[in-house]
Amino acid sequence: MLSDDDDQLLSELSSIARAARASTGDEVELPVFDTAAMVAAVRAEVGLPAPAAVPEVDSGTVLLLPTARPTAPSAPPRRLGWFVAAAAVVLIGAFAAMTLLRSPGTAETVLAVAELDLLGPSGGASAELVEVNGKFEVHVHTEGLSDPAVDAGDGYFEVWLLDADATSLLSLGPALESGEYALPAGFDPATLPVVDVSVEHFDGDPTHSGLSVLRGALDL
Amino acid sequence: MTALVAMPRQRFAARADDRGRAHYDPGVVDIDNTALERATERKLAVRFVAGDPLALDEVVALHGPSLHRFCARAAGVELANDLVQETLVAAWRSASRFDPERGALGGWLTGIARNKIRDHYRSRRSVPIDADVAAVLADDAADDVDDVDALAQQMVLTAAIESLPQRMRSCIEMAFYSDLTHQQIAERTNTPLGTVKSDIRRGLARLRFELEGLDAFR
Repeated sequence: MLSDDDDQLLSELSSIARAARASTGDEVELPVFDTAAMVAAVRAEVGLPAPAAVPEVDSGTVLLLPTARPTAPSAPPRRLGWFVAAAAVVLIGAFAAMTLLRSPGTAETVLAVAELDLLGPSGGASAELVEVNGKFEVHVHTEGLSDPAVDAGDGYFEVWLLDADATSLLSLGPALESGEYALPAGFDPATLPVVDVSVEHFDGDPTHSGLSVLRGALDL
Repeated sequence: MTALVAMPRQRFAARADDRGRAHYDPGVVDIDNTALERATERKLAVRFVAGDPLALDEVVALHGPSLHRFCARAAGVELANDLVQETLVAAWRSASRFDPERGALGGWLTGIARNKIRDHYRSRRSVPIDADVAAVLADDAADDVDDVDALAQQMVLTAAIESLPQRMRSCIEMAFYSDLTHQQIAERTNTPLGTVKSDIRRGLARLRFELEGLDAFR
C-alpha cells in the first residue's frame, strides 16, 4: 500500500495534472525560441564575454500553443535586436561546441546516500550512489560486521541492490570495508534503490540467502 | 527512453529455498536512462551555481524553450522573450541561492519566471487611476497572479510526467486521469502489483521534486 502521504500527494498532483489537461483556450502562434540570441543577450547583460560558440538551436518549427488567458498588452521587443547579427556569426560551429560541452567530465558526483539499518547482530554500513564519467557505481563502507556463521568461517557478507518490495535484486559482490561496485551499463539504479547486506554460506547457491543483516534505501 | 534488457539469469534465477525464504525472480528488468539524465542535469545545476559560463549557455539551450512557452502562455507572446531574458539574468545573479537538493533546476527557473510575470501584472496596477476602476483592476490582477501560479505548476508537472520512463508514466497517467486502483492498473498493464506500486511511489517522488523546484531557494 502507498502511505497516506503518498495518497495525498497523488490526489494533489492528479488535480494539477487534470487542470493542465483541461486547460484549453485560443491557439497562439509561438515564434521559435532563439537560443543563440538569448545566450548572447544574457551574457551581455551579466557582463560575460560573448560565447565562442553557442548551444544548438531548435529547428524552425512554429508551435501552436493553447493560452490560458488573453495575451497581455503588447510591448516592443527590447535588447534582443542588437544581438541577432552576432548570434548569426557564432552559430557556426555550434554543433561542434555542443559535442565538446557534453563530453563526460572526470569528476565524481555523489547522487544519493544511504545509512543502512542494522538487522543482524552487530555492525554498520553506509552506501553512496556515485556517477563517474557517466557510469554509476555504488560505494559501500562497512564496519564491525559480525555474524555467528561468518565468524565461524562458514560464510561471508554479500552486497545487493533490491527494489522496495524486495522482489527484484542484483548482486554486487562480497562486502568489504570499502567496496566500490560498478553497475551494468544502461542500468537505472532507481529501479533497485535499496542496498542490502546479507550473510551467504559457502553452499554454491548464487541466490540471496534471505538472511539480511543491514539494509537501507538510497535517497534517490 | 526505456528498454527491456534481460539480466543474466544464472545469478538471479528463482529457486525454491528449502528454508522457505528468498524466492526472487527479477527476470526481465525494466531499464531506462532517466537516472543518468537526472544526474547530468544535477551536474549542470552544480556548475551553474558555481558560476561556470558554459553552464549558463547549456541552461539557456536546455530550459529556454520551455520557459519561453510558459511566459508566452502566461503573459503573451510579445513579452515572452523579455521575460525569459529577465528570468535567466536573475537566475544567474542569484544562482548561489538555488539549492539543487531541494528541487529541480527547471522548476526553479520556472518559479523565477512566475515571479517576473507576477511583477509584470502588479506593475500594471501601479498607474494612478480612478478608485473604482482601480478596485476592478486589482481583482483582475489577483486573478492573474493566481492563474500564473496554477499555470506554472501545470506546465512543470506536465513536462515532468512526459519525462518519466514509459512504464512509470503509464502507471501515473492511469492513476491521475482514469482513477484506476493499483490493482486495476496492474491488470491492465499485465504488471505485478508490487511493480505498479513501486512505479507510482517513485514517480510521485520525482514529480514532487520537479514541483519543489519552483521554490528551491536556500
